[in-house]
Amino acid sequence: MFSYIKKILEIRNNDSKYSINLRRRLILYLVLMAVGLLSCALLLVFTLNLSPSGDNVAVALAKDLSYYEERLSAYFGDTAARGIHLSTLAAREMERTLAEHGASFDDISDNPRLITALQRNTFAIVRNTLLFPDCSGAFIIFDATVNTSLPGSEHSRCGLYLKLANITVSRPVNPGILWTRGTHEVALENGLIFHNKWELEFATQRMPFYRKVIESASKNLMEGYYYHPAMRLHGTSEQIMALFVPIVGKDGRTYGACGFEISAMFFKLMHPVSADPDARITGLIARRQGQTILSGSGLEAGVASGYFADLGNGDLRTEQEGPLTTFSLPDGRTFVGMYKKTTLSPPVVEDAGSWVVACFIPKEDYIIAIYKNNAKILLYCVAIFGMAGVLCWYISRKCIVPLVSGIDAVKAGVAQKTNIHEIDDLLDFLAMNSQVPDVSVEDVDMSAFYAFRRNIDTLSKMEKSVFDLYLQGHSTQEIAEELHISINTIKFHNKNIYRKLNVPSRKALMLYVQMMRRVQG
Amino acid sequence: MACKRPGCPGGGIRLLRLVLIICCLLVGCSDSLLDPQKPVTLTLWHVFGAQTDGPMNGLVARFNRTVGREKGIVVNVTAVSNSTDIHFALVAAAKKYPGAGSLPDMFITYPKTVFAIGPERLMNWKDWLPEEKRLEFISSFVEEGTVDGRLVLLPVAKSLNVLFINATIFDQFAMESGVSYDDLATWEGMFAAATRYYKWSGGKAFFKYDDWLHYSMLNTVSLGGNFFQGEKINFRDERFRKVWHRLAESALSGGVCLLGGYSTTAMMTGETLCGVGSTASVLYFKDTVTYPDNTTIPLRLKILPVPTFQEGRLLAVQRGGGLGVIKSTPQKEYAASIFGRWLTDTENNVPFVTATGYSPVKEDAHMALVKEDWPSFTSDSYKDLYKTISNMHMQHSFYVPPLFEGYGEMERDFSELQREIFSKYRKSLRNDAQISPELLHSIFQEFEQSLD
Repeated sequence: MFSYIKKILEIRNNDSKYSINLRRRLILYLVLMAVGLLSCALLLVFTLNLSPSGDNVAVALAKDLSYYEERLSAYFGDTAARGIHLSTLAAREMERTLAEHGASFDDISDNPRLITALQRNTFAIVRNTLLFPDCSGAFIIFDATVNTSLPGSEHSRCGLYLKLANITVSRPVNPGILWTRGTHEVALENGLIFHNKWELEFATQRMPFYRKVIESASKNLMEGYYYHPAMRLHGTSEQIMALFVPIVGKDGRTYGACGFEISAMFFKLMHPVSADPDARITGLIARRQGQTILSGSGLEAGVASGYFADLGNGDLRTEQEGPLTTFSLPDGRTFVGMYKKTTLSPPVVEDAGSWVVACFIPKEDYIIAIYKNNAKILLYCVAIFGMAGVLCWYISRKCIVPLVSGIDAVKAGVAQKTNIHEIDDLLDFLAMNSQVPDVSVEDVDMSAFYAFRRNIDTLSKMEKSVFDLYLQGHSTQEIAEELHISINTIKFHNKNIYRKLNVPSRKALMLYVQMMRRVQG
Repeated sequence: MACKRPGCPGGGIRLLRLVLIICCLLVGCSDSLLDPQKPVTLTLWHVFGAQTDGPMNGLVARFNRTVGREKGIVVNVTAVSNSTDIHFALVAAAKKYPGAGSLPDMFITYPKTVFAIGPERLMNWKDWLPEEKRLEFISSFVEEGTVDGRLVLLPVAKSLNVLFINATIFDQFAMESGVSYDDLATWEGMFAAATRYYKWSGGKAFFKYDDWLHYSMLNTVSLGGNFFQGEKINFRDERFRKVWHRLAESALSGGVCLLGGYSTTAMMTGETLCGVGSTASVLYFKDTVTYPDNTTIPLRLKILPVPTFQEGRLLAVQRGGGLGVIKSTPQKEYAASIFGRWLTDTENNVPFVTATGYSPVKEDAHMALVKEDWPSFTSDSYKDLYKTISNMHMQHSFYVPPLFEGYGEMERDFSELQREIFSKYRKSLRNDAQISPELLHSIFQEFEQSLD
């Protein structure tokens, strides 16, 4: 292609010897224009990421969602694995402590001394999990209570619960820890500050999943852990999700449960959905019920630089619109985004498949993004249209202007080469016609005619074929069709015929042809 | 007065900022800086209601739903802590200590933090708050937040130290021992009651003070002494020595609760009967005391002013943080100023402060509180609290501690070392051991050396 263009340009620069005909020139320019416009369009599509309506937003959100779901899935999976490890260590330590005291698990209830010993010996295990925190709290619940005689004691369970004192974006090594559940004695021994809403024991009626874990516990911990949907930590404004792993002894006896707390604040700070300070995107992990995502059942995060949608506990009604989903809150706020299923608890666990991860932006941002995208497309269409206009002007200048100039030159009686074959040919023709006066048979120089006849033998095979067809009275067009050659080739042969037969013009040639017909006739 | 601190912007930059701000103000108080379609997000660290269902987060949510949405501002609470932890977290972030996160856009803190992180890093509220608005605030609160002529902390809520008493147990103790609430007006009465309570309860401590530096500082000054000498504690002051000896004597006899943490938890676990703490502690009290066998008794609170020595004048220290804003773009500073103004508007400020045990920061609201011109509180504890606050405002003088860079660390170390040294000697002494003046003198010297 390029060598062809180069050749054409070379020809163009080599004066009239290889002048290009107008049709070819026009085709060349139109092809170049089409290639130019196509290149621009492709460039815009691939480099500026232009596509109609909200496709760009959908593609970007799909990427965000995919990445976020992978990250959360890995995080919750790792946390579950750490919880299972904690459960194993806790079971071992409990059995060791019970053996040390010559007691069995049934002896724990109503035995403050044994409960304190269990808490004391398992404290380090729980605390160590918070030294390099990947969660906001850790706990062990023994399935026993310090005082069975109290009303409601069946819902009161002893154990220990430690929480990070401060949750900020930093992850300090050896962070401050608050004693949230457990006996005074162990807290004081370890110099811990009490949580403002400290309680001695766990109120299990506020944690329905605790009972589920205990009842369905098996030795295979890999299939027995649960992620408790978000709940309000009693007496606080904190919303937390919690991992519950059963603690199962060597003999299969369930000693209680342990796990980790992931507070809403911790999740928000540690799992931002994006680091882009200009983005207003929300990431959510929550349970889905039909077409509704229960945002209060899960945790949400915004952007690392601060944007946060604050969905509260409002349920998100979803509506599918093409590749995107519209999420509507009861307070009237609407978001546009996507969601996909994720797995938190093992597949055997009830409701395991109801968790979803969602990423969405405020609807107004989506509309602005579409407007911007469409405006960009419109702008580039205008630019391409302008470029097409310029090219048309250029083409007309290169094709039509020489034509007009040629006509003007003819009118003015000045023959100037234009490098356009058709015009140059016309100019030659007119020039020749203007140079040679009209000739009649009577005026013909017979010696020239004889020379003409003699020279016929000098014509090449092809020139002879063309000449013979002229002799038979065919027009140039008919000769081209007959011989399956182009008009330009005919013209080329004509020039040679004129030169070899020493004919000054087509008119003279036709006169000699006429004379030959007579002679032959 | 011009700021001479290193890092303080030069005249050119200040002038540029001023021009920018004036331009903003000229275009309709710069609402053009904000776009409701593209809200600016401001992160906030605060200290109101740490670990509880405090009303501050609800207030922020209300702001975001109303004014924030209308103007284009989202306030994102990214840390709720206590004043001590937030102080150290801010200092760590400002000094870029390893592991520290970045500074929030806005935070609630005490003036001591301002000195530790550098006042020049903070926005001057005077740039965004017209003088007539500033005059609505109680002038002493504004002065407290002013450094080098720049208002760097906007007063939001103020607290006092008060004495919380577990009235459920105290009433029983009073009936059997003859001690009365009136005895708790003086430290002499407190120490005497502590001795009796120790015997009555079978060895329990009578009271705890959340901030032991305040005990020594206020009582020394109340008795006419000079607690500080420049940026150092004046251990040569006889009044300081006296109040410290009296406390040490009670502590070594078991009358003082030497546990760490706040007095609220020590009271709620039955470890002690009384506690001196911020009025804001009222938010943290449960309505029960829980004992190790999980039995509970109701916790009814009685709230009194902090005792003073008989010869001392009534003196209190006013506490409570202000809203600081890290210098930023005019857009963020303007957004922060809208939030600050909204937070301190009487209609928003009063319900908030009275739900959290604080005092309002504007003259009109404060006077109404002092005159008890408030709808009655539903809780008896809150009624009692605001009655005490009202009395203290009428009867007490207020002391403003000096401010210097190491004040926060000194306050923490003073409490910790004093608690450690008292605990050490308490463990080494028999219950009936005589505590001689020589022993107290020796402990005082040891304390001085360890603090140095």
